[in-house]
Amino acid sequence: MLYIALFLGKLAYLFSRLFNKGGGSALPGLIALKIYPNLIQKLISQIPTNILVTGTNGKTTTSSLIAHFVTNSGHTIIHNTTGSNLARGVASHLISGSSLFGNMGKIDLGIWEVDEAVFPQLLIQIRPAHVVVLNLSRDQLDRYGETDSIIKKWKSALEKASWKPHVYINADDGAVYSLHSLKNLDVETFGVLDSTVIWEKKSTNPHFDIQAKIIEQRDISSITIVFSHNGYGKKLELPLFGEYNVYNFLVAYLVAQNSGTSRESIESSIASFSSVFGRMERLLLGKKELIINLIKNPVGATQVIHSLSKFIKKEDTVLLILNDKLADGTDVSWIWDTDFEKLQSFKGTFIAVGTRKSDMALRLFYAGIAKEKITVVDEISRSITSFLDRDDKGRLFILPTYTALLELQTYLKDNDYKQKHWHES
Amino acid sequence: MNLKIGYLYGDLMNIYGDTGNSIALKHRAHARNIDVEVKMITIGSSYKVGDVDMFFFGGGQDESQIAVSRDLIKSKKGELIKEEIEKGIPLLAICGGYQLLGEYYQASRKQEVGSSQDIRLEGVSLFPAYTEAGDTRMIGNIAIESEWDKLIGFENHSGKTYLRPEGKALGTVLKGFGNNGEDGKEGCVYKNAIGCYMHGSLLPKNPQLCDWFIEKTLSIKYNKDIKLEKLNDFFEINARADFLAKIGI
Repeated sequence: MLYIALFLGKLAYLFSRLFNKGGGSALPGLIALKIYPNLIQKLISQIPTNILVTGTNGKTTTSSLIAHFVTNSGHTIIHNTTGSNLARGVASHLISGSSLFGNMGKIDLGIWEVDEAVFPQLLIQIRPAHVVVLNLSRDQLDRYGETDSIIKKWKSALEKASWKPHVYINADDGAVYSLHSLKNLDVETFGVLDSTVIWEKKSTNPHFDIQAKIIEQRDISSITIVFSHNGYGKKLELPLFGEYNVYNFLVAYLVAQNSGTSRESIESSIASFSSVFGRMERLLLGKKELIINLIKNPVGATQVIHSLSKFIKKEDTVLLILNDKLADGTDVSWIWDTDFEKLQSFKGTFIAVGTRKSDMALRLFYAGIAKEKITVVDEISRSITSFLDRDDKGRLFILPTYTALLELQTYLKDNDYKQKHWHES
Repeated sequence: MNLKIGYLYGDLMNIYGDTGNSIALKHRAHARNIDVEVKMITIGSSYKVGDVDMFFFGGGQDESQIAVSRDLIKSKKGELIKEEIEKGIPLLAICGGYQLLGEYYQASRKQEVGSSQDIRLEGVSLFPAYTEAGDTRMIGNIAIESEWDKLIGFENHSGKTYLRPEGKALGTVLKGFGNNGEDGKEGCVYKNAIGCYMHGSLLPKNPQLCDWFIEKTLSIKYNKDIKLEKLNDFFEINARADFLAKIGI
């Protein structure tokens, strides 16, 4: 049965690549799991070390950082992407990485970004040696449910993990830090001193195993920190934006080190890390610069807005794309919990697009932004072409929800603005 | 003029963008040069009759809801709020807040609500309504026909609320589930208190209801009939029109 599942999975993969239907990240797994439900365990157990990354915000950046560090030190890895962080996506990646006979070849490290809702099930199937829990806040309550019930499920799943994974938790996030009392498990904590990140629940007197202090965010692509870990300390410049990414760096550092990558190797390779799809991604189109950053929930969006507010200039434009499709969450209430008020003093203009563009415009207006500064546009394409036609130095900061990011990506690729097509669906 | 809103348990009950309601009240009051102050009334804070001119009460997670239910009764805040409502003080309660201002919330035996003995959460009995746990979540866009024209929002609840015979509903469901998904009614109105399941946030996209709250609150506070000047509701009207078109009404 495994061979049939693999064969059909691979066939589905070829077909979706051939017809460019979403890069083939869900369908092969979906088909193969129907035929052979144990496919994930069967293939993944051949990989000596697996790393699982979960949490509401930062999964993609963190797993990409880990992948970057360990690849630089010579590991052969397999790594999934945001669009495929459910069981079918993990299965799809395994299928494309395995031979027709179910052999995983030379892959010695699996890095798996896992959606917070399916974490308990995938934890058992993946049996990772390392589990990273980044943070937890309200995200798509219509789909995931409330955070209290999620953390309970995580806790019981981890306590039942008989192979005793090493668990890494964010000590500043109160909900996640409640996992530090996990019975019989090795837990390591990470945090930022004098953090200004607003968590849904703040923890009291957290203990940090690795900690950082932010020295300076010079511009949108460079943040300088001093970090300390087990008596070792170092000043480093990270090619990242925002305090929240310092957390992602710290835990990626810990995991990479515990997977056999030296401090020296991590510290020298960080400079060559380039931003991930839609996470402070910068594109230069002629002389005009586009900066794209996904927003999807109130805590994450507020962090992005707080960090950005210091760097946007009056000649810049902020383009917000609010969709309410299934993958975005059909409830757009979260925009009212997001601190758009922070953009009040921004002198430039705003454009609202997306299936809920008029909700977005209303939110901006109620945040105290003058009516004249808010434009509502029907199509993403129009908002971009009119920006490119303008002859000034202003940059376009695009903040799209998930499905809007995918639409944007397709638009940029179809118009040859962007070469590389990220395979997310 | 000024207006003082008592945000009931705002630190615990603020899920699904309900904070947007106080943003809307502030925005629309400021547009008429009315000052707004929001006072947090929560566990451990003091409250006495006359402290605020209107109340707002949002929805929360299960554990918060248990703590709030206990505090409403133990600290007597529930009784005091009820006394104010009887005098005509306006109140808006959404979802969890609405449930706790009814008679009770009955959890099903198999459902865990905190510790095992917490099968029933006592309410304040302000609204002649009671809520029973349901096993399916009622999620989605909602629109109702009401005295305040069409009201629109987003609902997300599993509790089913039933009105007593004397209970007056806020409106009739045009799209969505409403109180219980069975009788086609949504929300409850008692004097100037409104309870309902409509997140969204409710008030930004229903400016007519927002203005009614401001007018009612000021009229009672200053003991004269206050009419607000009209605003240019360009963004509000567009958001309403797009929403209604989206759900096919």
